Amino acid sequence: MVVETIAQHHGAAASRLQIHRLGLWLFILSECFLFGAIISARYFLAGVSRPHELNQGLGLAITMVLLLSSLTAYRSEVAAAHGNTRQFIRNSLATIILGGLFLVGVTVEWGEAFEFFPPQSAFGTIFFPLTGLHAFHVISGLLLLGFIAVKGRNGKYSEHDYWPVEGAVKYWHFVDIAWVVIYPTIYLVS
Amino acid sequence: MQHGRQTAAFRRGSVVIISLVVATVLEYMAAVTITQGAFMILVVFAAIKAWLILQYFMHLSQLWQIHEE
Repeated sequence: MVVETIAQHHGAAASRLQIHRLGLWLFILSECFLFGAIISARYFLAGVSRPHELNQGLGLAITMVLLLSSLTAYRSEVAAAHGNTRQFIRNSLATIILGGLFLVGVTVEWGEAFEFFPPQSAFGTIFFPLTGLHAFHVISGLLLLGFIAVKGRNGKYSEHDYWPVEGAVKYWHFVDIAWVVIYPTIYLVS
Repeated sequence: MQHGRQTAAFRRGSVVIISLVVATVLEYMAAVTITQGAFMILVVFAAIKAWLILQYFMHLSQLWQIHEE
């Protein structure tokens, strides 16, 4: 009887986790359509041309920073899955710092962009909404990561119950994937 | 045992990130050196990088492992 109850409880928890995951993946899919619409607008409005004034060094640097943040986010999730709170907090904070560094890079790039290809120009019409939308997602990801870091510090997660960490980290990886497509679209295609 | 699994997962993450960094550098070099057909090369690089993140960092295959939790 007790074993059956435990098995039922475990089964319910597992299916709830599965529903959470499916819901998040559907949300990510809907986000793909949003980014896809703006990325396709880049080719419609500006073709494959790009201004020579684009700061290629900065673009590559912030791309590397965001990729590295995916590693620390992954390590954060792995640590949470193994009940290693110290590593979880450390890697979450590293992810937040790297994400912040990425935003600083985008801000610098925006400063240069206003000078060379303002929002009224064909390329600026795409550059600002695309990088702005992505930066908004980075900011929301940072808020989520900050939230789970604080909760984790208070011992809210265990190796058996860490869905919020998994969800926040998956969202962060999506932000990274979006940039994997945005980076060549903005900086490399010509 | 638990610590060993965590170390193995950390190592896997390091391998993936090195692959992503190398792919990004190659992508950049392809964009600045190749004048014809670079677009398709960039698409391939982006697809490979996205797949690496989906598969190893986002665990996409978890969606089909309902009974293994």
